[in-house]
Amino acid sequence: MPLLKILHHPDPRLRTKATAVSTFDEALSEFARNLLTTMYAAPGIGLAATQVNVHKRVIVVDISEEKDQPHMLVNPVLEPYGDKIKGEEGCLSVPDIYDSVERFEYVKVSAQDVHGEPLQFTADGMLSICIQHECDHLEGKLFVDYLSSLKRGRISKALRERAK
Amino acid sequence: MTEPTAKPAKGQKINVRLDAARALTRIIGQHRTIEWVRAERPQWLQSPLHTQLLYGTLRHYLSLGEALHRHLRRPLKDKDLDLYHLMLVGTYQLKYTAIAEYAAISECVNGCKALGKPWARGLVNGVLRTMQRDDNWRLDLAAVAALDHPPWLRSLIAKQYPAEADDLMAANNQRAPMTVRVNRSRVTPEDFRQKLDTAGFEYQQGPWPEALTLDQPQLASMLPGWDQGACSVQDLSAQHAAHLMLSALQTNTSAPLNILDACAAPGGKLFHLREALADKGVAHRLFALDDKEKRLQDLETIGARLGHTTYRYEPEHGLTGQARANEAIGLLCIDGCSPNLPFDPPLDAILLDAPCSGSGTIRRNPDIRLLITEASLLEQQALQLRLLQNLWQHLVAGGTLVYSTCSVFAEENDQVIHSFLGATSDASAQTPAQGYGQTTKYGWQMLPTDPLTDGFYYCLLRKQAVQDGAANP
Ligand SMILES: C[S@@+](CC[C@H](N)C(=O)[O-])C[C@H]1O[C@@H](n2cnc3c(N)ncnc32)[C@H](O)[C@@H]1O
Ligand SMILES: [Zn+2]
Repeated sequence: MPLLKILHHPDPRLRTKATAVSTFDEALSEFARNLLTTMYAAPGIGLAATQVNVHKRVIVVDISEEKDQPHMLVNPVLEPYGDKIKGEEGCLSVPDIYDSVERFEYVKVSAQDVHGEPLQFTADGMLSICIQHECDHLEGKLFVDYLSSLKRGRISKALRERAK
Repeated sequence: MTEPTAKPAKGQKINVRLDAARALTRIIGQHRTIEWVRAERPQWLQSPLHTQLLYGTLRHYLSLGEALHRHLRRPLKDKDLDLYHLMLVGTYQLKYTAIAEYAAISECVNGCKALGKPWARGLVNGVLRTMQRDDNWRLDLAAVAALDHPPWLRSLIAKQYPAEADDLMAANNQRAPMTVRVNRSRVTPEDFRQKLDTAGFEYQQGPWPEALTLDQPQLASMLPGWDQGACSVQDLSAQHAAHLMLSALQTNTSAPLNILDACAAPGGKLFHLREALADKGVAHRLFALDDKEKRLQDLETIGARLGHTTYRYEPEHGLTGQARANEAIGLLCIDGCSPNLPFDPPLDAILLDAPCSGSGTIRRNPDIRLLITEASLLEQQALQLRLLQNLWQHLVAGGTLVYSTCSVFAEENDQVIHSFLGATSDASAQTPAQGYGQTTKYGWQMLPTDPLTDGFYYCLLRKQAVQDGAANP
């Protein structure tokens, strides 16, 4: 199975808002598995469908050291709560750029698995940050959007030059 | 998203306390060994401070944990094992090191953020500051080494070594000695001692010319001629293997002896054997197996440093087809329990340095006490017996097998030999008596209470020679 191609900022397709998944078939499972494999290979700890130019509400996340605790979430809905905390982030669509972003400390996640079964859990720490980051992608949002316009300008310029 | 620590931002420095806590979480939370961590994250253990914090915290994991528990208002959740370890690394520094206490604490507090748990900063700071102000726990933690052994381990030691139990556990908390083995294929022991003298090393001469125990452990790479392979680091207890083997070989034959090291990687005893055979002028062909390819590659690298050539043994060429006597060592990656190992004609001697719990090397490997279990001793025992029985079939009549482990427990030592002898009619234990250590029913046991040796076990097994003509009554 070929790895999926990851779009790079400032590609305008990263700004697309994803639509809900309504058909839970074998094609969906296969896509989610491909997404996960692509994420592991990158290597990354989270990847959203948007980043591979599929505009459906699917994200995959695995923050474990052993890469053996994958979450494949379909139609995720987040209820963040708690304090705002600042943590370093990086993104597979914004290669080699790392910066501090404010997120909520906890997040209550409601989603479906690839078979359409509902699931719910609460995340904290890196898992919470990562899920918030990936769900932003489904809204067409990138972590660099939270940075000052000065920094954003510098990053876009750097990436454009690298793309040449 | 990518892992934020994948690349520290410019100017961001490494937090050694945090890395030590992460290593602990791998070891305790995921049942990994220090060796595994070293292979996965070599950059961590390159820092001497990291090594000190990791080894020290592991050594005192249980007693420090008790003290920490008493200062926590409520226990941490399972998923906060990383935070627990961060605090434990802090606790270790407060009790056992001369590191400035404010530095020890603030670095631990900073670690919370990188764990994605900045909410814990206050908690970590509060607990460690209280512990800093309170001296009672530090006084309570006077040297009771037993508290640093899990209860089952304590009872097993007490059961098998009633007289030595406390000393043995105290020894497990000491620093290990460092013994150097001069590579006699490269340099004479006299020349090497002179180099040590010139460089200002102080040492004690061991029972053989090549064994020198340093007064102060050193980084191996600091030893004279290290890169040129002048010496290896090898505990005195392990150096007995080659000497025991040599004393048992029938060296009056003119044909080269075929000798196998059946669990060879990373080659400590194998290369010693090589050096000793060459030194004594015993004609031989050496073979070495291990079932882990990665470890065999490490063996090759070490051999290259020492100047011991190796090749991959291809059975279709026969034992003598690929190398001349006294030359390269034939390596084979295979499970020693496999049927029909490719050793035909049978071998003249076998060294079986079996995989074991390592319970004799706890002071060297402080993770062992937290990782082994009673069940794992019995699992090892089963494997040890299988290896022994399988290899025995490849030994020539009249040949010698040296069985060894770095364990102090009978489960992996005399009990294995007992089962083996019970089921094997042509074997007898003939371990020679030695000046120190303990003589057991079948073998010889060294203990780490001897300041110069790790815990180690040897048994010399002899295969009955074929009687020419008359049958045995
Ligand atoms: C105690 S260590 C050997 C140390 C080595 N003799 C030395 O002195 O450097 C045991 C070795 O046995 C190997 N081993 C474990 N199970 C084995 C098996 N079934 N067959 C062959 N080797 C095995 C392990 O990979 C390990 O390298
Ligand atoms: Zn991203």
